Amino acid sequence: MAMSDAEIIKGLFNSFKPDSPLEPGDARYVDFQAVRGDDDIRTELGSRILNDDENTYQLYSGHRGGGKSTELLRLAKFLEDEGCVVVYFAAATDNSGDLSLQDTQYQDVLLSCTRQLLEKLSDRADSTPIQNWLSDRLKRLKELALTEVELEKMTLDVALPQFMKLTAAVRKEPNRREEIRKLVEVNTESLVTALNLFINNARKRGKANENKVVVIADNLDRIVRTQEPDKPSNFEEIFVHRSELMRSLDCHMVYTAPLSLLYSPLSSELQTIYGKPQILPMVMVTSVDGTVIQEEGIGLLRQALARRVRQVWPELGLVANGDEGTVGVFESQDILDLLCLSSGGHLRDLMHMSQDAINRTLKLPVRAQAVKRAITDFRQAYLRSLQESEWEFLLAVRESKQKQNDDDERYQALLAKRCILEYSFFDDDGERVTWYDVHPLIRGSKVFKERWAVYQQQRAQGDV
Amino acid sequence: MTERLVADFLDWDEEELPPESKDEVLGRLFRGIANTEGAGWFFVQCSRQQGSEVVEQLKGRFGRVEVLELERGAESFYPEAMGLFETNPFDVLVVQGVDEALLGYEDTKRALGWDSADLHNYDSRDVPPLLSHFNQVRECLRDTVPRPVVFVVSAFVVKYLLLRAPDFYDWRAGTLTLPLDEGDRSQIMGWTKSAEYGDYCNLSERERQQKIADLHQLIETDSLEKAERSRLLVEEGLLFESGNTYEQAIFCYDKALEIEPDKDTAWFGKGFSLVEIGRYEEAIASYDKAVEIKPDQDQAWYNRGNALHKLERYEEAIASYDKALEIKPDNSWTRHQIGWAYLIAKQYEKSIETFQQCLDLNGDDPEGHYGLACVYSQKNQIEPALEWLAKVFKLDPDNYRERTAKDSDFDPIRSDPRFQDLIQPNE
Repeated sequence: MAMSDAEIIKGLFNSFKPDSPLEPGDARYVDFQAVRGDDDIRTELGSRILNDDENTYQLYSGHRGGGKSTELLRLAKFLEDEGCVVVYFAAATDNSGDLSLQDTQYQDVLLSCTRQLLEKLSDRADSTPIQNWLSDRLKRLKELALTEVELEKMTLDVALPQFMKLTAAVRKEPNRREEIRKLVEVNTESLVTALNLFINNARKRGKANENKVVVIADNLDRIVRTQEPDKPSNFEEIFVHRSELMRSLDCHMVYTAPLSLLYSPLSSELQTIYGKPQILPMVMVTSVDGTVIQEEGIGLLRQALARRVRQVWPELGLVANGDEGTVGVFESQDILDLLCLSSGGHLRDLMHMSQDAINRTLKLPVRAQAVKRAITDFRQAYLRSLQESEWEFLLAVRESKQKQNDDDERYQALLAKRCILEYSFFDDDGERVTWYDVHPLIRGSKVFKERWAVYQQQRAQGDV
Repeated sequence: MTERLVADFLDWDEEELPPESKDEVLGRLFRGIANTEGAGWFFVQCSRQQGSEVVEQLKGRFGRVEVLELERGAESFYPEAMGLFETNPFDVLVVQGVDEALLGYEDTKRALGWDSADLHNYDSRDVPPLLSHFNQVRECLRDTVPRPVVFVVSAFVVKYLLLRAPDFYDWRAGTLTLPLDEGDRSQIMGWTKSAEYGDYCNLSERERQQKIADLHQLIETDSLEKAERSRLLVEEGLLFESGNTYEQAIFCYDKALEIEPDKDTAWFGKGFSLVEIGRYEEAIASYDKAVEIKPDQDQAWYNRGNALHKLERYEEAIASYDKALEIKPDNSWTRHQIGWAYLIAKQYEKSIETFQQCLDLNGDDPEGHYGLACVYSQKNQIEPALEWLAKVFKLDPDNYRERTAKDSDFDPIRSDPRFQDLIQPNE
């Protein structure tokens, strides 16, 4: 049955929504392994968990909207299929209340893990140790007006909501946050002991092959960095200074960490604590020299778009073919390629701009002007986020394709804002090559081109 | 397939696109809302006045439209939206007052400094609670309020969202910027025409940032005449300058000069800001351009002289001051500067002559008297130095006693007890 243009456009508009990670097995998923430097999350993070007898504590990171959650969900599925007990949770975004992004500290992370473990494992493990831990602190909890529960009534059904209350109070009530943190701080050791008893219990009761418990704490990178003058930032506090706590649970842990932290002066320390972090780079749409990578670059992005398009209407192609009279979303191959290249290999940007271009279209196909307008609109967001002081740095990265200096805060800020993108591939000798470039949305702007010309001129004169 | 370069694809820029009309932008908003299944967040960047119009139009177009007005300093939004949705299920939710909520956040300067050099500190210290809340409730909002939400905001809010609530903002269905209409435009234009630099300096920081935001929107979104655009850019520069954000001011002047290379006011402003941040050589070059275009600007010659003075190029400084004097002979400030330049250049007789001229023009000029005292002190002639100083203290004891105590010009005679006696306040 044919669909009207309006229906197709509506379908496309919703299909390109940027707001949900793909669940494992989603028909829209495209494997970008080769162009992302051959990292398969399952072989990298996954194998370490499967092969290591000791618990592993690993960090996972990447640009915002690059597909981290999608990859972590795949990892969870893979590990479950391999017989692990997996607790995946999106910290900091859970409705029932986990982390406060405002000023999350390490105690909050521990509380959050506790609640998630209780919820996910309580049907397979004896939660008595945790109930006891709560019971022992009932007096203090009552003083904090966090509970009205009587001692003899402490059961799992009661305990779980108590932890939810604790985490919710941390998140929502800044006044009590400090008191709860203090309570947890002095009782950390006993809480960890109780949790580990509980985890071990879950492990023992599991089937023979279910002897690995894995906690994947996604979205910790969503915590907003805060820093008081002359003090370590909350990131540093959580991931470095309190790392013994992050490594204290008797199970495998995967944390998402902010990309900027991995490129900060703390990177080597982090590596010592968590091993080499896994970073999800962008899809490489061009080579270092600026040549467009067809099949394995923009070809895959086209595929990602095509799968979403086909879901709307199986007969719909990506590009209209005037000669054959077939219906397609975009007016020409070139304009589709422009869209893919402008995304810099960043999936959310690609979906976002496609959605915007669709919304500028009353009748298919999407015209060049609609695509260029969409690009211009998203370009504005990048340009506006740039500070004057960052330009010099940006131009230098464009010139060298390398990051200049890990310690420079501007570099971290530019990465966090995706104004600089990271790519990686394996060269002919099998060595991993990582390189950097300015987001194509910025590169295509008038202001960048002008500044670039001046910069080149200065370089030619030896001023830079 | 032949190899292609990404550069070939990027070989165009935004200027080739004709500007969108207000109706086109609104049409996109309405289509987007109509097409949205489930949640979808639209940001409409516009003036307050336009915001009310947008709300009216939405009400006329979509079934149940609810408006949520955030209060000054509001820190949450999700529970309110969810509550509203439960009691009063809507088709479209409009959120207003994000500006107000952020303005209530203590660090308003940061909030509004969307372009300012201060922003390099953006990620330290603190996050406005409302923005952290936005980041946090992203998934919840999508799942429990599965409706289009229209945020009506001004330009600075968008910048703030970009930098401080990027996770939330990353999920937007679109940001739509409404071009300013005639009323807004003439109001802003009118103000820049009637206001003087002194008025700019008297603005509170918040007012200044609001003015800059208004002006910026006018400059960015409108198809202005070139001359008008460069004039407004200069005004924007002056606003930044009056708030001591000189790098930003220079940026505006440069943009004005791109449009009109002969815009003398832009060269003048640029020179001023460059001096303030110690880039004297560039400042001199800017003033050179300013006086080349408009040679009868005594203030430009004067400032140029000051920049040369800072570089210890006294001869040239004096020549520049002389030019200013030619245009405005009764300007005692200029004459003082000449006197000081001669003094530092150790041309004492010339310095005395100049300060004398000041006194010829105004016998009660304390600075002229003070200048003479300094010259005689430098010449180590203590009696005349003390004589002139005594006259200064008669004319303006409050300012000059303190200045004298600190001024190294008096080092040659400082240890003399008569000098010490003279500068005692009770004498």
